[in-house]
Amino acid sequence: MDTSTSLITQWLGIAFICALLIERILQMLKALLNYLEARKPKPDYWNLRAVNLTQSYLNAQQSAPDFAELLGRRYLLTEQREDSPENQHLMVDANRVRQLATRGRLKVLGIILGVTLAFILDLNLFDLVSKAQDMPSFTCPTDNPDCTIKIIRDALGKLVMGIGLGLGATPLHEMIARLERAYNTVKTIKG
Amino acid sequence: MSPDPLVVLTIAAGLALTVERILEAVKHIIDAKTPPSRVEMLEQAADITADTLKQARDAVESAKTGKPAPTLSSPTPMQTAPTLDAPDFPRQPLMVIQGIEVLSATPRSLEKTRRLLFYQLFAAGAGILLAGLFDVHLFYAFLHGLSASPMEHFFRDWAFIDELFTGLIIGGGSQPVHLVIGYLTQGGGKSSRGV
Repeated sequence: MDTSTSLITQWLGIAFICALLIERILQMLKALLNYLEARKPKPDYWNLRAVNLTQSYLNAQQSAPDFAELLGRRYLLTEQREDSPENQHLMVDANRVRQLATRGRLKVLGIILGVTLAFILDLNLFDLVSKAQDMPSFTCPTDNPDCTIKIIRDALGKLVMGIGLGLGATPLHEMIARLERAYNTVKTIKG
Repeated sequence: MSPDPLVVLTIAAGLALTVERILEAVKHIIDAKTPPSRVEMLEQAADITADTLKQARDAVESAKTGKPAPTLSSPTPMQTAPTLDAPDFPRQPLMVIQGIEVLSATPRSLEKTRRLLFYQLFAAGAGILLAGLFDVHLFYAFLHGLSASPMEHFFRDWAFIDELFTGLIIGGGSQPVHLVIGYLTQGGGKSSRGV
């Protein structure tokens, strides 16, 4: 393993380890939330949310069909009843609403944790991929070493990396692989 | 001598496997000591009934179509989440709004969630203990030598935080750590080799 590869492996490794850590924290938090919910169940809250969602879906069918379709895909369950096989019964399950809400909240928390870690550990996705591709890093003009575009690029790279970290190790790997393919294509086009 | 990050990661994978085995043993002990609750027994009975019904339906279908019915040994996809058209079990609707039934939320099983939380905490605790015993510091190992990283010194001076984080990762089991080893060794940071 040459030195440059080793450094890139280290950067990639730290990114994947952070993603694993966030995954673990979220798993534990989910178990804790489920336990707390079992101790103090609040079915009325989820039932009310399910009812509100159903109302929103019905309202959106008139005013915003695209949004209604989105809601329907996410929350509507269908069931074929034996008494009327031609009719599909539509349902909104409060358990599913609870499950999706918890998952969504944890995902948001994961992304917040990921972005925080990316900024603390200085993990920039764009720099990482350009290093892996042996491409020169972005440099500002010599008369303006701290150009705005570099600051924006850095912040954006860390933000994207943070989102990747929050989503988990496998999505992060997927993101890096796709970005590398894109860089490769650009390299090929440039000759 | 600086620690080789991949070696440290491999040790972490080994420890994660150890935690996994210990957790498995603890689960068996707890399951053997705890008699199944009434709800669990009913759930098991419902599962068996559903399987029997499915087999009967398959047999009828096979008799109609002439195609051989799937046997018990045939591989079936593992369900990780309830599918859209298969709710957990039939429940009475809370109310019906313009033809859409709203099913009420069912309370989670306290025993089950408590056990799951215990397993999570036990795995994390065992991971932290092993990380401390074997002196495994993943963050320091990977950040070491990266001149651009200001956090290297932090993890060197506050080693117990590194142990805590490493322990949490080890507690997650060997599969995720193996996955990361796979990504790093296949790719090694070079796209032509897979990352």
